Amino acid sequence: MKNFLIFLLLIFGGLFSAIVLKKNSDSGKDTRPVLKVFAASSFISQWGPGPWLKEAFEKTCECRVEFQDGADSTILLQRLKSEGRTGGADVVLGFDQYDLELAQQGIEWRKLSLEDVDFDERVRSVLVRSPLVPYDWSLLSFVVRKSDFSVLPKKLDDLMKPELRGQIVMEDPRTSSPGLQFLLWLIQLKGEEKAFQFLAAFNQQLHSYAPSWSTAYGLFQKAQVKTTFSYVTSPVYHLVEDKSTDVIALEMAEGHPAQFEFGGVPATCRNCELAERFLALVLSKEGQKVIMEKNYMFPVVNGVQEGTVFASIPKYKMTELSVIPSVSDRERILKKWAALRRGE
Amino acid sequence: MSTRWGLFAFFLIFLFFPYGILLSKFSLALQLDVPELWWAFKNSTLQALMSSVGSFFAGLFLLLGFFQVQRASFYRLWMTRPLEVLLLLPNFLPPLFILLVLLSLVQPFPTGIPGVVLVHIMMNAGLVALLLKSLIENKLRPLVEAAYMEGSGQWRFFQASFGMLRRDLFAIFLFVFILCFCSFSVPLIAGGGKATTLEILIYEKIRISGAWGEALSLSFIQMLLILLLSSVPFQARKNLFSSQNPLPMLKSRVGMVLLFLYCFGLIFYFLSQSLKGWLQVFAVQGLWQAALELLPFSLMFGLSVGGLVAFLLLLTAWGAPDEKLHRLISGMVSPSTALMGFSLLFFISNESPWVEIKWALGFAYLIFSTLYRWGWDQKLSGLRDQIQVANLLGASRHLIFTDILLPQLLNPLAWIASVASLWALGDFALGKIVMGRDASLSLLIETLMSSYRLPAAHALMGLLLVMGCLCFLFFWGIAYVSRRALAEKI
Repeated sequence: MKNFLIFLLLIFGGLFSAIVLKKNSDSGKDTRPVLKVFAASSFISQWGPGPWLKEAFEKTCECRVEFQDGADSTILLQRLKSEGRTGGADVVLGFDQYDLELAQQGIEWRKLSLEDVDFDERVRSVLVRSPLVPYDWSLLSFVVRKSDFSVLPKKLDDLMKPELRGQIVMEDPRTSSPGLQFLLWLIQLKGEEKAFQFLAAFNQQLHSYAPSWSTAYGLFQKAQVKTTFSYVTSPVYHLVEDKSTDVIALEMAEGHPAQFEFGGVPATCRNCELAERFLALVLSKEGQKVIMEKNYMFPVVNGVQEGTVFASIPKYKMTELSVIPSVSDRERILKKWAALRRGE
Repeated sequence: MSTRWGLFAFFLIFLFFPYGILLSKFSLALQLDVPELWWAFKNSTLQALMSSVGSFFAGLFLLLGFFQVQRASFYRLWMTRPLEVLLLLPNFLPPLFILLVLLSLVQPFPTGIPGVVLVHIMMNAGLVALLLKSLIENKLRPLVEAAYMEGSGQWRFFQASFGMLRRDLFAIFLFVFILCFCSFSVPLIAGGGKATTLEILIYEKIRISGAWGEALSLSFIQMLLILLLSSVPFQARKNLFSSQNPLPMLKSRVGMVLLFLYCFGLIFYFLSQSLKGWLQVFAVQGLWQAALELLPFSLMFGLSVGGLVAFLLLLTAWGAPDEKLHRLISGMVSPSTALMGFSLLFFISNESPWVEIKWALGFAYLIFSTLYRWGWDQKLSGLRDQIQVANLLGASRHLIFTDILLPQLLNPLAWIASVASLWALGDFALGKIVMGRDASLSLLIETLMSSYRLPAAHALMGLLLVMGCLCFLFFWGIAYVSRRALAEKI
């Protein structure tokens, strides 16, 4: 028994030491101010743009950047509302255009000075919508493997062909941003009534509705379906990492919806000046290049794509963002979507 | 205050603490959309009912296959115990993993309630098989032997003995029903929008409209329903591991084929998909290093959750037999993960080491009542007579606990603690909210999946399973040494 207790002590001691050593090597006895940045896990991961931004910013700021995974945007917003200053968020990244209304309910944001930023023409339309600022974007489309098709679909109706029955995976619009984008895009294109009529038929073509983009894309990657709704920048991932040119995003005659990712500085920030400088780095050409290459999304400023693999992406037609539905309207539309699914 | 009341108060506070925090932040919504609630309730009930019935029949077939394996002496020597563990594997693995296997096997996959039921059956059939095995071995062994001598067929035997096992079968059925009723990720993934259950509705309220008050009200309603279900006065013997001696007569070759497919299909699929994943793990710069750095914390977290659950279960044993405590824990359902995670953000500090402690505590909370219902409750109730006799003979609570209860509880305790560890190793939903960074291997896997790198995520899942095995060895080691120490003492 005595030996066993020593054994237990050694195991826990070893594990504890490993964790403590790792923590000490991470922070040491650092007394610099800490800039707390909330962002999505893919942004702050080892292979995301976060580590580069952190390193570049820490070289000049006399501060330490600490990333926090913001988890789900709804939870993050509620957290910002409830915690206020005690939460310590200085910069928040990772909302899409449909979060903007909720983001302005009960949360104050600092007005940012963006005069010096040379925004891409197509991004300018969303700049006026809120005090939050877009930092990357992409159009969305159906992503396919060229080798699976003799003739590539060119419009939405082409997806209704019998050979694609059970070969399309879509994201659930209640739980996934691309899924919601598709639904609202459809309504924008066809009007609500006709969009739901189309959807009733389109749903019969589906393999399934996945709860998240990653699950849907996983099914596509595992070749269990021929197409999924994703970003037009997704093929770049396969080009860079898999050296494959087989995956492409379809060019649709109807145009393509866009997803913009926003960030901002809450008024309750502790290191507000540093936070604004960090966002400036995010919007700088260097920062944008890293975000583009690591996040596989388009930059929001001009002069970054040139000379990179992103320049080879065809110029897809963007469906202009007209009206963003209010939260209550969105809830109504999603209830209608759920009712449609219920009846199938 | 007596020890029992003290324990009851402790568990009451422990089990209601997230609700307490949430109530201090949000007011309960009193006006709910009744048709929507009814629809979700109907779906929850229907899918849970069909899943339980399906798991029951699939479990029975697997069991007959198991008995067939047990009869072959060549296999019996080395295969039965690993088979028992493999039967439980689908219950441990992340639902997404099971779903990917099913999606490649079942084309087209039937989303909606049929899909949810299919995944639930796949996940629970093995568990049911083991529960039925224990039941038959403990209650019917002499009868099976007698029926065999009289020349009865196995289906005739099952028909005749059904009446004797009615209450036990219903208790097992209820256990699976509650598991499926409260399931979240399976209806979310396999439901495809057609099977909105209560758990999904709670999530939707938070995700779509930020209606936290409504989500909390729905959570309370769900808890009341489970409380009602748990008050059904049926008792059964639920024991996962029992005798290794084969029973005569009961067997099925078809069942044996199903058993092997069920047990080895997952492993084979996993290995066949892993190679490309490992290549990617080493190809992505810094990924392997990051995974290695996360191993100590992941292991520590898994062991801590296992230890916490074991500690809580031992507390219930200290107070046993206590009917009111049993009712409280059996009827308790944790709030949905989003609500739980959110409540933890407002509990103590969000700095290290508190945040790690909160995650372990929160996760132990989430799985505690399920694991309590997973045979521990019946194990305790089975010891009731011994405790009463010891009480009559004047034994102290301490003596009863150390000399009577502990030696008999160490095996199930090690088993449940191991399961808790494995579940903890795979958690990313709560960890994502509470930790705010890729602090463990499961969180890293989740991040990989949301950034195109599914093969690497797949491969690292294998590492999680290896760590799960280490946790098993750890808790079984503790149980073994403690048993020996107790035997020496006695």
